[in-house]
Amino acid sequence: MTQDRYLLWIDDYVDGLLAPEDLQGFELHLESCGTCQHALAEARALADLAGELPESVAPSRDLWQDIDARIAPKPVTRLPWARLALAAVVLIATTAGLTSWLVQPPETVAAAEAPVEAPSMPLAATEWEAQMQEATTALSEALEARRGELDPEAVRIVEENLVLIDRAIRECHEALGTDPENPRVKAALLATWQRKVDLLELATRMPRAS
Amino acid sequence: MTILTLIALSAAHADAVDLTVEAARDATLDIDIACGTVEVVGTGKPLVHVTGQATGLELDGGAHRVGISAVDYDNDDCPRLHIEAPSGATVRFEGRSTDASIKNLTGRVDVEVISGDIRIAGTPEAVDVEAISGTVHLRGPMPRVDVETVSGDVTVEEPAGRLTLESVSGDISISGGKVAMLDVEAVSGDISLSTAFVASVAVDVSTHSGRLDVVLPKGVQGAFELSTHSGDLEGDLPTPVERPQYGPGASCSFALGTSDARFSLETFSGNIRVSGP
Repeated sequence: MTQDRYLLWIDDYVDGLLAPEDLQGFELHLESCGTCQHALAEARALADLAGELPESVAPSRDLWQDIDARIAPKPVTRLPWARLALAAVVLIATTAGLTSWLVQPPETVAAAEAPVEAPSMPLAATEWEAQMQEATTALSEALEARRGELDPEAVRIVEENLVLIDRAIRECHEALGTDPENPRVKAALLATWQRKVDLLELATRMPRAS
Repeated sequence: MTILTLIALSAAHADAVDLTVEAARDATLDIDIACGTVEVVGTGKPLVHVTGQATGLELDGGAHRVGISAVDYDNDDCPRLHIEAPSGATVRFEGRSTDASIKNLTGRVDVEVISGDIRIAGTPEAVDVEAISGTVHLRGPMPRVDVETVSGDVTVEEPAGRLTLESVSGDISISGGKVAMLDVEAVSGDISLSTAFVASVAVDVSTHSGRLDVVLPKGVQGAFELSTHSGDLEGDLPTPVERPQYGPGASCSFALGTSDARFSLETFSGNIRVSGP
């Protein structure tokens, strides 16, 4: 049994979901593994933190279902507490802004048909983007902290793809500059931010290089 | 409960491995192999049987959970393993540069790899694959599929059930079969779709800058929304394509038949081509 595998079990252990046949071996390993003890303490602290957060912000319109589907973290069997807490923070912090931004009725459909002077982004958009930026910054820092133990080639691929995502986000911003109420571009921007979060989450969970 | 640990050790060369443990028909296999090739095949026997070559292979656990691991490797001496497992087993596979083939299982299959190529065939009840640059090839009517890659291509053949496929720069291809729900997203990856759909299917397919090629099956019904912000939209469409008076982009909405199926096909700058029905 590898330490990586034990580390993956920590979330299940905190949740009381570790299989009985694994429990004794895990606790035996825990007694002598400083890394796992540290990770366990961190997981418990984050679990406490996540428990203090409000569970949700009530949706104001049916549209929330679509938004929820896009930004809710995928259910996984071994969800690291750090990821859960971060996702919860992003979900809560962005809900109000996202809902108001996405449900704003387009005031002028004609805006899509004739270039106009670029207005500033709606406040709600900048608010939730700031939250997404904060989340991706935290994930980037987590990835950076693990850089030394990860496969350099894998990290290079991740960084190349982050560049692609950032380019896509810039393109969405440019499009909203001329058509700020375009719902499809708004949705594209949201989806692209979600891709960035997903990619960073995936990258931070990469197994260590041999 | 029988707990055992078997270790095949050799300092210089990979050992021949031939290890067998009893396992429940719904056992969970935790497989952690750093590199090389691994083939997992479901059988009707209540056994886990590992053959091949590996150095430092560890096989541990009991009837309900079997751990198979070999993680400390350089790439010159990687394992080559054939693992037979009860067909109802759940397989949790973790690899770095490990190529894996998993087939004939009906239990859940979870895979996490960095650069290994993954091939899964058969009817596992649920498949969840995460890969960085590895390619993912799925074949068979799997009820539930979730795949996330970064640059790796994803190919799904003869699917059924619910598919959620995500990539950044990898291409995604779906062909044959008949799906009940389809959610496909990419950033720069191309998406190719040529499959049939159940009557009330919900289809959401989008790529930011990749190309989107869709072949609609004969007799397909549902409400269609096609749009691209700055790309082009072409194909065999029953209604005219709408284009803005100024600038690029195109969209098209239409309904076929009376089904409540829903199709949303979108790109930001990539071209969309639809052929059929």
